[in-house]
Amino acid sequence: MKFSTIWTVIRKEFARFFKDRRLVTALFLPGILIYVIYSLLGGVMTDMLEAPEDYQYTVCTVNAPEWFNETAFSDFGDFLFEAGAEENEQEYLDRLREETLDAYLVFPDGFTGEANGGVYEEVKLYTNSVSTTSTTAGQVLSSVLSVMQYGAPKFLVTPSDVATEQDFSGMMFSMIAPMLVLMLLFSGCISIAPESIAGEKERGSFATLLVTPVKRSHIAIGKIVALSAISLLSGVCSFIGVVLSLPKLMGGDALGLGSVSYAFTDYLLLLAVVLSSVLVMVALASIASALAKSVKEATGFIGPLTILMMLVGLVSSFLDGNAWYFYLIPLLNSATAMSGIFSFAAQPWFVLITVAVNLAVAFGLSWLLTKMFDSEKIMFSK
Amino acid sequence: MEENILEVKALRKVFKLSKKQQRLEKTNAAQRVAVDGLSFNVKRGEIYGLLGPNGAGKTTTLRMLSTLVKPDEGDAELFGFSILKDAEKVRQKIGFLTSELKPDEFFTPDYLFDFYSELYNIPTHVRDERKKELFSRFGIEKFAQTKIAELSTGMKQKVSIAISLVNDPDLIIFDEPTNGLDVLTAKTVTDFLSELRSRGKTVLLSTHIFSLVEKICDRVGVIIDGKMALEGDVKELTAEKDLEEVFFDLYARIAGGEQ
Ligand SMILES: Nc1ncnc2c1ncn2[C@@H]1O[C@H](COP(=O)(O)OP(=O)(O)OP(=O)(O)O)[C@@H](O)[C@H]1O
Ligand SMILES: [Mg+2]
Repeated sequence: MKFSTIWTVIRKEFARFFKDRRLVTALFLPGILIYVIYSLLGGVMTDMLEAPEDYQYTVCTVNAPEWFNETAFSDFGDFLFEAGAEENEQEYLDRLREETLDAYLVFPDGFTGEANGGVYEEVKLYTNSVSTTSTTAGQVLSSVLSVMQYGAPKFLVTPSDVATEQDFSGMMFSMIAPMLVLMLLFSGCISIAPESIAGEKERGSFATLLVTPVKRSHIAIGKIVALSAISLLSGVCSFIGVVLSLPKLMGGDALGLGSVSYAFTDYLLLLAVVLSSVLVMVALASIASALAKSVKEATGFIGPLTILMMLVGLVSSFLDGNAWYFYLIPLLNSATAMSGIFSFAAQPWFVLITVAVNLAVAFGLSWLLTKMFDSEKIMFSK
Repeated sequence: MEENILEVKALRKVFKLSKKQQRLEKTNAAQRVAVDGLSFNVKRGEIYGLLGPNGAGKTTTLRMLSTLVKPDEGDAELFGFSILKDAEKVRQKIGFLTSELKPDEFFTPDYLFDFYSELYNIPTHVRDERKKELFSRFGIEKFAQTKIAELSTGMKQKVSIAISLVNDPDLIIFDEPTNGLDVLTAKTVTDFLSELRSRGKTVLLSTHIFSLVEKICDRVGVIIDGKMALEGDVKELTAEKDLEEVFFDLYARIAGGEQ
């Protein structure tokens, strides 16, 4: 019986929102915006990163076998091969870092190209992911090498990245993305909470609920559950926007950057962070709305919160993502965790702390909201 | 007929005044005693009117009785249930109406009637029967599927009344029943209140309109500054002079006594 009244309240909130085209748009817009903005950004960045058409790729090889040297690379671009010696390895790696060399390929001494009794020879491929041309050269080399051993594996190709910095596009993305995601998620939450709580207070329909036998706390629970569910939907939508635009943002299509792709667990962690953040945000927006007497006032209260989201997003990109204590601060942890995930440096433990902290805070804030609904000072202030 | 459905015992409510309120009302007082030791009884089957000027404490009293706000002192029993201890049971049994409570604009009368019925746990067949009867009584049928926002003020008020009766309450508490209504709608409302009485329901209303009290109330309690200044049978009080004169005599006496 208790739950049935909560459920009744929840259903009315759903009916309220899904019948209002303006609100539904406000919910799904963030996801679409993320997709559009990130795709556009990706396009711009790809243009910036694309190698000039007449570029000559310089590759240094050591112990290259005959058949490799005879392979025609002209189909893939203008390739210049230098034969090097293993003693000078340090020099080649430095050139790679300075971007005067695009790839450094090392075959083992006396390379046969045959697997002997299940023992594979190891071919090392060094590239620099900060350089677009190096990444492309690496891509071409590793696909040629894999064509060579068509049918059965004959040797191993071990890629290494000499870049000391993080991948450029990943780095850029990890800096702006958390801020944008946080702000857009928040914009989804604030399109509904003020309407549902401050709006009802302002229009006088809230009190009609308070005169029914339903407990105040149940009304609060009904509202927060409905608002959370709706905001989560908006969060999922934003998440899909991020996922769909990631390859474009990373310029994956144009550069053939197969190496820059996120694992399934990355997506899972991202989803957990997004959804737990949404719960904190919707609770925050609900509290601000309960304190306000009108939608206008609620919007006024929420303004500073929006700026806070922006700051949190910005600050997170300057933080040391490896310090565990940052993950104890709600929302800052989300931004930091997202930076980590976007730049391939996610630590599952930190993400778990983030989600746990956010969930706990969301629960605490929701509890506070039920207390606020009980307070006549807040509900009937003059 | 003599059974007390409502017993109000020395209710008191003090509000802290906000800075804004102090400025608006040009006062330095930190608090305002809105209701000051108010006691009265309402009997089954009567219409009881709380009469008082603006700021007398009528709305605050009715809000305490319908458990929207808690009294600082005192208590009241409705059907034997205390507003302090059994707030939910009290709310289950009453209907509370005020122009400040407005049905949600985004829904239709039909939806809202069902929604509130569910909150009161009313079986569907009872609900449908009641809805049919109330909607036809107030001429809402035609607008049952129209959003509240698109209805006229009078029709909105009628919908509010219909909705506040979803639980077929024995006691209807009505703050300023005719406030802001045109004469026609006001008449529908007052006629309906009399009709409720004839069906054995009890009505407690507040107003500052003397004629309304004279027309439909059985008994009246005059509140001034949160205190009961005079209470009595409307017919007896108005035997010699009309209610307005009674009130001004009383007011002069109280105000005079204070000076
Ligand atoms: N929530 C509140 N906070 C502060 N003061 C309040 C609050 N509600 C009422 N008051 C004050 O308490 C006093 C009594 O108010 P109340 O609304 O009960 O009067 P009323 O008799 O209904 O008057 P009216 O005819 O204007 O409706 C007024 O001075 C009012 O300003
Ligand atoms: Mg009033």
